[in-house]
Amino acid sequence: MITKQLIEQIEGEATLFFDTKDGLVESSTTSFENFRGVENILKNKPLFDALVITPRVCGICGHAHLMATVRAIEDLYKNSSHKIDISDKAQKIREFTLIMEIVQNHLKWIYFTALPELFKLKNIDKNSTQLKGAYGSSIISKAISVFAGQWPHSSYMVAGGITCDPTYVDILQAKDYVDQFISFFEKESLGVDIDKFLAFESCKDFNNLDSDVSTIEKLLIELKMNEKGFAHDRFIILGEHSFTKPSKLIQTRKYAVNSKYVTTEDSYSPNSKSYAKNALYKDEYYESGVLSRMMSSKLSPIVKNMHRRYKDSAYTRSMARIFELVYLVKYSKTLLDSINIFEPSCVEVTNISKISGTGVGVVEAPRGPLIHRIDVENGVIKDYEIITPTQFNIGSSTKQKPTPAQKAMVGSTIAEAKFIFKTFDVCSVCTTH
Amino acid sequence: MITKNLSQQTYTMPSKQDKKPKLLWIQGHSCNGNSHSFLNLPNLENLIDNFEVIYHPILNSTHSYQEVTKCKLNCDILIFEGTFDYNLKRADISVYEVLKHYTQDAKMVVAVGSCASFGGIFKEISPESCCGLVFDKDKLTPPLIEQKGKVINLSGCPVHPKWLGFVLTAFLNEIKIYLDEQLRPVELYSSLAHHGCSRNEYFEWKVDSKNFGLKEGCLYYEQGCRAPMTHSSCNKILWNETSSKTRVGTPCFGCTEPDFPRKNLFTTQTNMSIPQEVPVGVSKRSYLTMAGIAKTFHIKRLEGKLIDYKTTD
Amino acid sequence: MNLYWLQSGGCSGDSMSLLTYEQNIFDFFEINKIELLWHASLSTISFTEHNNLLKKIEDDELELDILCVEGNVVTGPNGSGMFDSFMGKPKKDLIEMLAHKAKYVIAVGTCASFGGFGSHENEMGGIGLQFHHKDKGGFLGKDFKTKSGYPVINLPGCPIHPNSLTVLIEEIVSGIKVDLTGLNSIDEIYNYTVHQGCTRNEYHEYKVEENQFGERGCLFFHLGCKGPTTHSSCNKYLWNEVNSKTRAGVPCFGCARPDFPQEHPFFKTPSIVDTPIELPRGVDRAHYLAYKDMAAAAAPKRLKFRIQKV
Repeated sequence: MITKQLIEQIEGEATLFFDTKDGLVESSTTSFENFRGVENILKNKPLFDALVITPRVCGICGHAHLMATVRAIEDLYKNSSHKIDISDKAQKIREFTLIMEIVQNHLKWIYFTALPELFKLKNIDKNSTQLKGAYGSSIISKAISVFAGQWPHSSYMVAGGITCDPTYVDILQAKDYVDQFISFFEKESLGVDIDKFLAFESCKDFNNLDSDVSTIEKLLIELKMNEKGFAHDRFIILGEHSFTKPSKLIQTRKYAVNSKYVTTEDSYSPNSKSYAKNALYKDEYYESGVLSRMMSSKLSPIVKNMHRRYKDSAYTRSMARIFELVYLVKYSKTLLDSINIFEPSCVEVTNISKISGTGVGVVEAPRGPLIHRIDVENGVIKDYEIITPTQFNIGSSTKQKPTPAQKAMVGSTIAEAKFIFKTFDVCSVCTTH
Repeated sequence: MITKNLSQQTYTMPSKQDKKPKLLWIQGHSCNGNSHSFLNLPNLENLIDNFEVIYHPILNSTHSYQEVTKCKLNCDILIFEGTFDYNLKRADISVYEVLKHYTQDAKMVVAVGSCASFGGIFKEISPESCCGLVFDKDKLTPPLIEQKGKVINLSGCPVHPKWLGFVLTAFLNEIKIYLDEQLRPVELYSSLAHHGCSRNEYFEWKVDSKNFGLKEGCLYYEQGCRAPMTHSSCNKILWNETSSKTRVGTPCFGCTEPDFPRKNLFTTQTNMSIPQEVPVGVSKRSYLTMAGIAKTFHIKRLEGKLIDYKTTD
Repeated sequence: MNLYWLQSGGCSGDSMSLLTYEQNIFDFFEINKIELLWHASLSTISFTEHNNLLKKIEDDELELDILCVEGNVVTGPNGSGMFDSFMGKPKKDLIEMLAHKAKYVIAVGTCASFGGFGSHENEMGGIGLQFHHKDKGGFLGKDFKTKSGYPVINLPGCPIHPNSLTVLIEEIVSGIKVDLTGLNSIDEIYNYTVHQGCTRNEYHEYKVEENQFGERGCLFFHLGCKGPTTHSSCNKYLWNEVNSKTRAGVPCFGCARPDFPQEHPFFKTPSIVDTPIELPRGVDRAHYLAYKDMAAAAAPKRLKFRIQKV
């Protein structure tokens, strides 16, 4: 029988249609019903205006869109024989603010999605800690605004580099904010020093911990989320960064990738009109986001250990997000230390009105690869295509060829399926843009 | 500050109301930027504790949006985020119907962000059916033109969390909020984004910036900065208590004004090297003369690097 | 690294300011692995322990990394220094000893940097560590260098903004070269002027001047504001993350300048024919008069008539 469920508070809404038998999900389809048409809004606009418009695709990952746009622009210059060499300093500062956005995203997932949903599943009424997510994120936003001026919705990345010209004082201020966040997170969320946490090797290491993070781990096990939520065990990373490299993984075997093989198709949503499109790589569905990056990273033995034991279950996916948060916070300080403030912030670029051609910008946004493809004539946008990570994870296809989220929800009750759906960290506004 | 125990309530701002007023936050076409900006408000916990949150897109709420759309509840303060669209349905129900119902009993309606205030970026989705709650760019319009007496516009893209915090606190304490012609609180929107910009000396002496990525130089002359024409307090009440666009060398895009977004946001339209648009209220001719004279000064200190400067006399 | 904080001819305002740092200052020291050996207000070691500590430093048994001196060196009465004594001896002797042992010497605040209060002709005889007003020399002499090769690093301000000290300490701990201005203060904090980032900038631009306090206009022309001629970053790195003097309508008193406190009244601008005697650096007078007259004529109504509510 078909049950219709509205999922809320996923940066918008989505409707899930569950086909159940004996109370368990056999298949489902997803429909995203709100559409803004940013790609249309961008048509015929001067190219650089996209740096202001695309962050408004999304309130929580707008910065990732900014970076994808600027990368697409710089790719365009390269393809038009006007290659731009941005300085290491500009590259690193861009990465730093991107990393910080990922961190605040994961923190909000912990407090506004994971904990409340897990408590609901266990019928526990306990929601007083939610605003820790807001508080921690506000500190992270300060670190971002040192370079970007403000968060959300900055446009400080431009063709050629960045607009800010930081002094060492700014670098130290950003480090201070990261330190403040670490103190807060260790005390209020983790229950242990971040270095010790990153050295955890197995799930047993959580046994003696008593914190919000260990509560998540315990509840996931109690709710048997380590035996549910399996997707295709296929992962993809497309953004090129200092903290992660493009690759695809089939279980644990790595292969090379190229974003040109990413295509989209209309969603299969017979019960309702959906504006979302599914994203495929070489005609297959791949999971994107935290689990992909943590599986591919050399520095996270515990996530790989969890995967060895529990495959790509909802448990592994959730814990991977927490580990990525801690790992990136620590890494961000190393990144700041390596910045040479004497390099130029922004190099001069050829007047955009002389540039025509195409360009692609790929970034690892909090939820996975974000692709911007542009077609420009004399500095004006002819065509703009945006492919977001939720399109990789939360597509809607047929029962025979399910997308990662569809596959993950098979075999659970509807209540469990809704949680599993959210372990992919859904962003409704990005999906339909 | 860091060591406060957040799971215990420490101090609650006193409210003049007998019981907690009901706050409802609904959306039109939105990117959720205002919701996320609001989460950055310092002391958010203490403020929000004074309200019963019926629904908010992110925060803990007493009801689901689906329940809200049944239009059986009411609220004391209604917050609307995103562009209004007559044709928009969310959760299968027309947003217009939801807005109409909850505006009736609400004592105050806050249009949060430029989309809800004037139409903003997402007006371009469908210019005929999309607009702000009371303004369509700079013209008065339905849906809430009849109720504009209880509407406050907090334009900005996104809104600064402290501006919304101010309105909510004033609401709780029954403090009168004075509004300008665009229904924006005068205490926040009378100043210009230009007030408090750290590059003010460069503006004064007309030293333009040669490129992005430099501490030196004003961005108004070539890089499209609209701060001298934009009403906001971005350089007074800093963003994230830390900075602002112009302080990090990004031009102000004029996001609090009804005409946002304009075109060619990173370039200043000039006529014979003088910006076409001069600061609010300044006569073009006087500005031209001033600019002419200012440029004849050659203050070495301002033409060189800011940090290379030696202070010995 | 370790740090000894000595207070001499001062008011301990800089210590109080440090306690307002946005992060818990003890957390800051811990993260940067700074051991606070002694601080007059914050330490809890006993008198004996303190003396032993000083002896260890004097006998080279303990290497002192950072010496912070808050307040000027008191030489009165009559050069004896006994207006500020410690254990029966003038504090200046202790300062001399410690300065020669330390790897880095930081003059915290205007008093320690340039003399500040009590440094103009009076019996206290206060002088800066390595400057007397704007002249190199001060207590330790112009050739003095610490073991690290740096002269005394000045952090002027009355009091300092806590940022100045934390930035300097972090640079020292990270081994980064500290760039100094001609007055031996940190380039990156002190090369701004207080005027940059002031919210009354439009009033300044169009010469809309105030004659009394509590109004919104510019305080430079009549009410004594030294913002345009004072090097500090008060309107860039706001005070207490919130505000600054000029934003709150208080004229800048030039407290980071070597000649602070000036000998003329604070709340009145010394001027000739209504134009301040001291103009922003590098600006020539005649030119300035013409420009500002033009600017005043061009002032928009909203500024001239203070129509704006803010």
